Amino acid sequence: MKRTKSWLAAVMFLLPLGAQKPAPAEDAKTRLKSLQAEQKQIIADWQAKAREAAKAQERAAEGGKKSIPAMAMQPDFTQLRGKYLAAAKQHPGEAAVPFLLPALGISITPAQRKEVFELLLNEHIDSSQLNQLGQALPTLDRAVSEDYAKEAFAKIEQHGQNPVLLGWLAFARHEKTLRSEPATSKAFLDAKAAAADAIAKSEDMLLQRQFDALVAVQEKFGIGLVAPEISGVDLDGVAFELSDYKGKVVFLDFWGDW
Amino acid sequence: MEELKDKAFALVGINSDQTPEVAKQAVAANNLNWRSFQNKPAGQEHAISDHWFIQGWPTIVVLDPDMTIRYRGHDGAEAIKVAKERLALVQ
Repeated sequence: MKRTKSWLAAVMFLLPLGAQKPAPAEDAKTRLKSLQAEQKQIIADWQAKAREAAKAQERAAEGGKKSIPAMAMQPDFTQLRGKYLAAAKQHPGEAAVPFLLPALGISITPAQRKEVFELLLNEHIDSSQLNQLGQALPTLDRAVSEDYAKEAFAKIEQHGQNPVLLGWLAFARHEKTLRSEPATSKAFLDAKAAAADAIAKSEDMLLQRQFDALVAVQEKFGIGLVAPEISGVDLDGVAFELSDYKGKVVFLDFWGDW
Repeated sequence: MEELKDKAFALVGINSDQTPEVAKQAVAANNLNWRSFQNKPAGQEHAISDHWFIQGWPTIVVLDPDMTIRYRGHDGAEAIKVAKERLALVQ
């Protein structure tokens, strides 16, 4: 991984801006780039430390020692998150969104995530950049809380302008039913019909694919359905079929050695 | 899994390694004794896993003797439990 000189970014940040006012648009772009570089560096440093810790663990195992250095499970983004939020304040309106989205991405606690989500929904709900927030909706109940997910969903629905957000919202609302109910049940059919329209209108390819796959899984591979035939070749290139095993309970394992 | 040997039970794999050679090395190294389909043999346009809408590995599907799907998911222990229940029913 390329090493960015973080001290250089820090020095640039500390340089006095002087009396001259920089052009705001350019300034926001530069600031974003420097914060992104800082984020990359934090990740690179953490990965280097993780490799070190793994080596130390190996050495300790060989030497029969038990003590190994403590290792953080994830990089520490606390300060960086503060910088993204400060930059969002300095660059109001549409220019704040590119700082808020990564701040959400590196938020760790439910409270931190809620803080950024609220900023985005309350102040920038009209921004087309908010499309990216859609993917976070299906897991918002786990990322923050069930109550907050309800609150945020209501806000998005009430506003009702961004088709991408509304599409993801429909998916988030019906995913559980589509995943768990048999494809022939009324609950499944209702959920499918309710979500399909909003998802088609979103024209979001990723969302459409996820929805189609979820529906297809239940309709073709749900519990109680007959599995389709597999005609293929084994690792030696010899042809065989899944139905060769008819009459037995089959444990079909999609595996790989990566 | 050992205890299910010789019963009306079969373990079938669908291997997603880049080449059958990579898979064979894994088979040899880990003593894997089940037969596997190549997920996407050279020259074949679609992978089996695409037909089956597999979105994560490993995925396990448990089938009854008449090929009715009884389990689909990522939880190996749960899949074994379901397989044992189905075996008990057919024997």
